[in-house]
Amino acid sequence: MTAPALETASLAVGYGGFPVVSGVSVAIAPGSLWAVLGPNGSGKSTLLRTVLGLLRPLEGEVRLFGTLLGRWERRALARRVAWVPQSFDGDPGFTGLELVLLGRAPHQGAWGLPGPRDLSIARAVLSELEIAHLAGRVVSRLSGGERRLLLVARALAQEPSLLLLDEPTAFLDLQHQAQVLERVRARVRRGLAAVAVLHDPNLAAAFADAVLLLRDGRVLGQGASAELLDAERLGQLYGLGLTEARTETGHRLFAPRGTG
Amino acid sequence: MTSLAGPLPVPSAVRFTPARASLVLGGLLLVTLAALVASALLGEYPVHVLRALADPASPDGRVLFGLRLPRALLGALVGAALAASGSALQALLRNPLADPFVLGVSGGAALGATLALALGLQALAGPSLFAFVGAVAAMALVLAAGRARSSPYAALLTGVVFNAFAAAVITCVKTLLTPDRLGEVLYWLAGNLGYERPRTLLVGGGLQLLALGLLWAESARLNLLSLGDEEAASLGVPVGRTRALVLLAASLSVAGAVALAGLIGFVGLIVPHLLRLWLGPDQRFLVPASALGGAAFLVLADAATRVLFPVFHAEPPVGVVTAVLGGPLFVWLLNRRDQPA
Repeated sequence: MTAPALETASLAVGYGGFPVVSGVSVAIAPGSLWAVLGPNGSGKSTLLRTVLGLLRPLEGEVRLFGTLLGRWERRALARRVAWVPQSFDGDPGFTGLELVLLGRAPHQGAWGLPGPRDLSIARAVLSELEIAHLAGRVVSRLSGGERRLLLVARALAQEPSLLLLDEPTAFLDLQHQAQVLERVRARVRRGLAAVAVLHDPNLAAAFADAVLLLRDGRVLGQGASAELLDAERLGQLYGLGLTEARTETGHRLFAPRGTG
Repeated sequence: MTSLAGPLPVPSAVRFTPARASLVLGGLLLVTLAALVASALLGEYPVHVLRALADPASPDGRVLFGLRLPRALLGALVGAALAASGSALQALLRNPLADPFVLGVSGGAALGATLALALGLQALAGPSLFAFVGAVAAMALVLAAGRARSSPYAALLTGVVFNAFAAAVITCVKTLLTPDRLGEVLYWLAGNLGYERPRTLLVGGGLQLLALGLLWAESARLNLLSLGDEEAASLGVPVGRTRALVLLAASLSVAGAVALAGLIGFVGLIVPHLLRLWLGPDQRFLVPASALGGAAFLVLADAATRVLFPVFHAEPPVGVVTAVLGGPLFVWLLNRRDQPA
């Protein structure tokens, strides 16, 4: 059996020695898409950052592809794990294609000159997300949603085995929310492991194989999304009453109770 | 395909390619060489190049090879150092307004030189040596502070605070000086290019070659760092090591420039800024282009001080010329960039 793409054991994550969430033990296999759900401040992004080695775990351990996080060399890790950050604060004025090509950096020589393969991968990813028209546009002049799509494109251009997405659907219109998650899903079917922080339980229900629910500094539940996601548990997760409905296609939908 | 052609030119999708880089950098090299030639010929004393070449010991030869050319080369060296370091620091600190002097280097150098002049150590290149030591010491302090917080802003803020502190100490020293010593200090602080010996130029050139070479070598990682530390790390950059290396190289380069020519402002700000508008933000392009552009700019600004001699009956310090040119140009650039697309 191959090692899980990501495995944590009794992991506690947080800042300055104070845990935001602790007791996280998950094993995420290649070919599965996990959604991390929880209220604001429940440690979802902190968890992703820690898994990526940007923050030190407070307790417990993280293994990526069977190897302890601390044993990974940065560049080698970047060839296997890609991250779509929540916000994009760097604004140096790259074009869309230049930004996406930076995702090829871990695969290139130290001086990062793109070869024909790098260019064709970057262009293919842009076409796949239907944003080829952003290739020559300056990123700082684009909308929040367009930047978001470029960050997803950059992460896909990185050709990772594990993809960590921090609110990939934020700022996106409905069509692009579904599109991004569909593209990720398609790669997951081909063996990618993906973890997406999501705020919309409906998207999680529609796209994720499994969910990790975080609340009040601990894991409220984890497992197959079909079993775990129901109105009661999600109500507990977000601290509000929810109703559940099923579409004729069998999709579950959740909405706050008392609206309309 | 529908095209939404706006008033702004759409840049080609990838602006840094080896072919375009060779073309642009080759062009800039020619401009720099032309500036060197123009500067060597401009001045109160008209030089006959052929006569100078035929007999280097002739008055023409001595002016050309003994005075004009070393001074033009010094200008090229200092301009290259300030502009290339400025470009790298602007990317590293993610602040297009970062000046090569922000890291406390200017305060440290000025303090060192002022103390040397106040103590009467004009001989044996005292002010230059003290300026270099002061710059390196200030840089070490700022680096240590930045390290403690592992944030680019910590280094930036420490640099700004250190510069203010140094300015206060310099003001204090100035009040204690005799008028002629004070004059020397003021002239040094304004930034000017003098006549350095070939050996000094050689040492300075070697230092800049090393420092700027290091910056260029790190320029691809610098591109990633300009996205932010965490994104850079997620793309495989050893952030702490790269940042320390770039800060060290940029600071050494600026310290070397300051030791040779005092505080010459605006070169490190205006040249990378103009080139970024033209070439985009890729540091693999901007570091060498800024070095060449900065060299040409400062060499021409220095030539202008000599052209202005008949007007003022004295050569104004070149730092004044760069400030007078750079200030309005910068304001114009900023307003131009703020215009809606």
